[in-house]
Amino acid sequence: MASPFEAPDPSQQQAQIPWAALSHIFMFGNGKGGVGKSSVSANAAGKAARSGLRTLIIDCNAQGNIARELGYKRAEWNDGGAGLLEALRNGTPLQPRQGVRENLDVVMGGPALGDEFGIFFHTLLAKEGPHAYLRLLMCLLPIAHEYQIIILDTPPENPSLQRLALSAARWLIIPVKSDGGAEDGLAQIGLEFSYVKFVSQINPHLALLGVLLFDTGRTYTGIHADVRRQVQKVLGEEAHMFKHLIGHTESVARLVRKRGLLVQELAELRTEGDRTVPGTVEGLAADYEGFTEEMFARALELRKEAAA
Amino acid sequence: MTPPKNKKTRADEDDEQSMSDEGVGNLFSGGAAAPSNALAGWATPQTTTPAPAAPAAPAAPVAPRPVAVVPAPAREAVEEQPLAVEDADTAKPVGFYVSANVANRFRKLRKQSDLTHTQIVFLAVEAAVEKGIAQVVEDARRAPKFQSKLFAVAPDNTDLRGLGPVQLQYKPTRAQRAVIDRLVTEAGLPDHTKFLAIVLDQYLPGRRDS
Repeated sequence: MASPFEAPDPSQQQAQIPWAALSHIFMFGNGKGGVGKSSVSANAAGKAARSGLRTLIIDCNAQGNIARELGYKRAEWNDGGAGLLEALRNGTPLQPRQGVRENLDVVMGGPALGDEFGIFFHTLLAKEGPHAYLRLLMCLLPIAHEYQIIILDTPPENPSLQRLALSAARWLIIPVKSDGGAEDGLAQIGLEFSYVKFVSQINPHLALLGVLLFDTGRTYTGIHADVRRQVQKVLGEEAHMFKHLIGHTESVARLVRKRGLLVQELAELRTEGDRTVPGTVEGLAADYEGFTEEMFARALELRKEAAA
Repeated sequence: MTPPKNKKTRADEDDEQSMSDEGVGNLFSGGAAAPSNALAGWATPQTTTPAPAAPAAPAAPVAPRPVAVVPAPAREAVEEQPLAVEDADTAKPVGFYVSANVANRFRKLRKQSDLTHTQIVFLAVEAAVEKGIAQVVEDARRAPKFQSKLFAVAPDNTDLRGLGPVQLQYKPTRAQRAVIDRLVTEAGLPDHTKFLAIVLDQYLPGRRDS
């Protein structure tokens, strides 16, 4: 029986996976919870979709966080992750829910990714060894070319789901908060990154796109510098911190979740005259605009460098 | 004077406003601002060849089956919270009873494969789910001693292939045990011992109980 710690046969893996065609897959991950992975995932996906790009977001969370961000938590078609689990179990293509927003499709997460997934994946790992971590990618491959941007939102402290996502992604973005304790989460995701890229070489093309400061006071420059030191200490000097950050705007953060809207959508309501939306939404919308532009531009630049 | 609950004070609003009105910091990189056509670059196909159809996954792909819709449980909107890690600490040894034949086959597989007891149990449960719980239970029943065309005969849940006096143990977490308990209920069996005994009898290599 294959050992989970044994590297798969690289020649078998490379013969099967068209890595060159998969540089449009982004993953948001951190070992710590509550740092904005789902919020940023959803808003980045929304931005890509609004720009006219065919976009897919895959919710790998047992909490089904993207349902809250996009407002379909109580929709009758919300399958709670059952479709994703079924695809992973059978090795069949993912079947996204289409048109959650214009140009935006979703593979739903939810409770099915909890205990049921745990037992299933435990047995798959015992059967297949590290090759099991490519299961999500295998299910994504048949539809990957239908999208121009694919975003994976992942849970904290769940190595199995994180490794599945890391094995599929090209780019990892790590949101962090500046309230202390960033190191533990960075270390955890860093370990999983190392396992997938270096130790097992399941996904040798995986790259850290950068670290994003989330939900922070804009003027707290001393704290930001401290976070930068923590990031460099854990991830290395070359770890990139995004220039743009997502500012702290608690009233808007609560309102987007309550209404199931993206930040830009809430900003548009404000522009249209809805005065129940705080004026601070415009600043937060600008933050997301700036960050997502920077994120996609950086990935494009690195992709071109790699191709050169 | 204390402001009404959930009512922001002027100071709170001013604080948020000032934080949002500030220009974006340039603390971590001296690079040029991202071009506004950053996303336009992603509209161009990456390679001339789109990703081919998925190669054979280790599990043979089958035609997609209808997705079972799982109603999302009602939950209040809460802030993003870290997942609880306590479940891993709830793993406790649980005994169940099987026939001598099943126990021997279990120990033989354990030696040959280096799997743990728990892993073998989970593999057997997974195989049973794939086969269909109802079918597994039906296959485990022996022919009833009493049969009647006129009178309905209740199924005998005490005479199932796999059951016996030998104790084995595995170590599920609380959450994993809950999943198995659900399957036991689905199978219509009175307890998890009978469920595990029959799934193991049908999963383990070697001659099944007669």
